[in-house]
Amino acid sequence: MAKKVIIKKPIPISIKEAIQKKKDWMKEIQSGNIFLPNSKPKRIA
Amino acid sequence: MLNSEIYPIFIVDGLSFFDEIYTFKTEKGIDFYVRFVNASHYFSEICASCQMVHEVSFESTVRNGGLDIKISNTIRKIIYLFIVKHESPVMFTCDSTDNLNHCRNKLFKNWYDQWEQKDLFQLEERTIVFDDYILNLGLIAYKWDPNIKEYLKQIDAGSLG
Repeated sequence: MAKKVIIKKPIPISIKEAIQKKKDWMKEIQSGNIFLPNSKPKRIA
Repeated sequence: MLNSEIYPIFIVDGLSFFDEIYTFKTEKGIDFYVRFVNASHYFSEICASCQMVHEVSFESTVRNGGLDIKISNTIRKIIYLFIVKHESPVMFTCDSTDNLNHCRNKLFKNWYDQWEQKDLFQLEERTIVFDDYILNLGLIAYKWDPNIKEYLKQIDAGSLG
């Protein structure tokens, strides 16, 4: 069971932005428009 | 099927030093991306050790591609490889805006419970309740990580952000 932590203030902007960036990244992938560097991915396992 | 079967894993080079993306393709041709980004924004700047914590997230080109145990095996393996490579803790957060945060949290918890390397790591979970948002959060770190108490102290004290 996760411990509950009550923070009596609104969610900080930095965290809100991070959540939004993650959502945007996920949308990029679903739409097939993900930005990746030009280098070929290297197999590691 | 063996619990240890995974898909070939690739790392994408050329990103910033602290951020990494791993990718793999399933038998159905679905591309998965697993991303690690620096999670220092979740901690106070005065916590130097916290600056090494990374957040993991993943997404695929097709959602609901069917049940495939090799997908979870591969993502677990990637998280393991990242922690070993960087010796840095990894956290996951579950967005609550669609009310599916508990499901995602449970998914990560199940993965951790099935982890072959579970003896090496500890999982700490928190439900952070802000005035306007609920954030489910998990932190995976080596059991021997000397800073684990500091990470949790920061979170429990409401130092987030």
